[in-house]
Amino acid sequence: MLAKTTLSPEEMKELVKHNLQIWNDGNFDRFDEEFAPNYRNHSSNTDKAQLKQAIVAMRQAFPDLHVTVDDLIVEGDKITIRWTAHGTHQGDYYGVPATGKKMKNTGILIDRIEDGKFVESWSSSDELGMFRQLGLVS
Amino acid sequence: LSLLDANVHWVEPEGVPLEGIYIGPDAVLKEVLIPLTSTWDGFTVTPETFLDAGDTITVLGTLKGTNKATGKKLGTPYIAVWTLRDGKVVKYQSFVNTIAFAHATSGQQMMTPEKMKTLVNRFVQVWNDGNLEMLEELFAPDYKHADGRTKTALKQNIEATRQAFPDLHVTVDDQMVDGDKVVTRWTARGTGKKIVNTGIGIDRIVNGKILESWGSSEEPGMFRQ
Repeated sequence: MLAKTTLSPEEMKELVKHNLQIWNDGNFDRFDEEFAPNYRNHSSNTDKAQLKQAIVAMRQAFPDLHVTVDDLIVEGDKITIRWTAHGTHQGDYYGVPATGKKMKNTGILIDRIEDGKFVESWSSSDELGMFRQLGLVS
Repeated sequence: LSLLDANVHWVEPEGVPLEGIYIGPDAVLKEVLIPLTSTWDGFTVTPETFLDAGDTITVLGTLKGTNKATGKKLGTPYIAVWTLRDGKVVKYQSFVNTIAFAHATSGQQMMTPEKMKTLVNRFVQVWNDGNLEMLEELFAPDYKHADGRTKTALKQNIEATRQAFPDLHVTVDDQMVDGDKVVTRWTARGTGKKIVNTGIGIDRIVNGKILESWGSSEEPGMFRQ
């Protein structure tokens, strides 16, 4: 059996912080090596390719998107990330043209890391709150 | 751990965060050794003197570490008595300066990760049985959710949810503990076991009570209908 890489809690935190930068700078250079090929988010029921599309779509809708990490909690092979996102609605978002409105969204993400890569996630965020801010729902 | 007898009695002294008797190597690992590393930074045990009396070995040494919750340093002598039988440890009992522990953990009633999870699970149970009185025991008086809800608002939230979904059942899918925080991933089901919501919550525990929580809009009370 090949030896697997087990990351320390500090290395897991560094991997997560680096990975979340993709939302801020749209740089997908290390996307493929950071996510396992069979990666899946169970909450949104999306795979690796769909995650990439979601990030691209989000950055087109909110070009000034900025995600910050508020807290990191590690136990075993899992890391929980509490995050806040800010952005201005300047592009098409799920078919809704730019409103110019500012949005703030918060959420919690749990990533499981295996052999140095993200293999699965669970997530929850205040999407309804975000839609309200954009005036997409009342 | 292979040196421990399957029925080892591991005794942590009264007055320290992990006080109690732990039986078996698994309990020693999960309820003593792992919690020590998750609640203290750089926890080290340095044996200095060994007093060998046949099947009983007494060790004098020093404990060191920095409490994660308070940031205070511990540096205190300890005595540990190891009882051996057939080359295995059948009993371990340590004696420490409990005042030193109390000082390093002051302002913070320490709990093991298992006890922290149990505390949060008792809160989850309130969603299922509606026993709102329990909240007084589980939450600090100045509890606040990051979304602004106080303990009173939380009670109203639970009450309203249970009226709308009398057969509400919330199950815990996963839990993790790091320092003073517990992460809980849950699923709420209503009539006919239909999933009505899923979510992730973070609770910070101080002095044995839940002091603050985070979780987007995803308390079980906020349902996607």
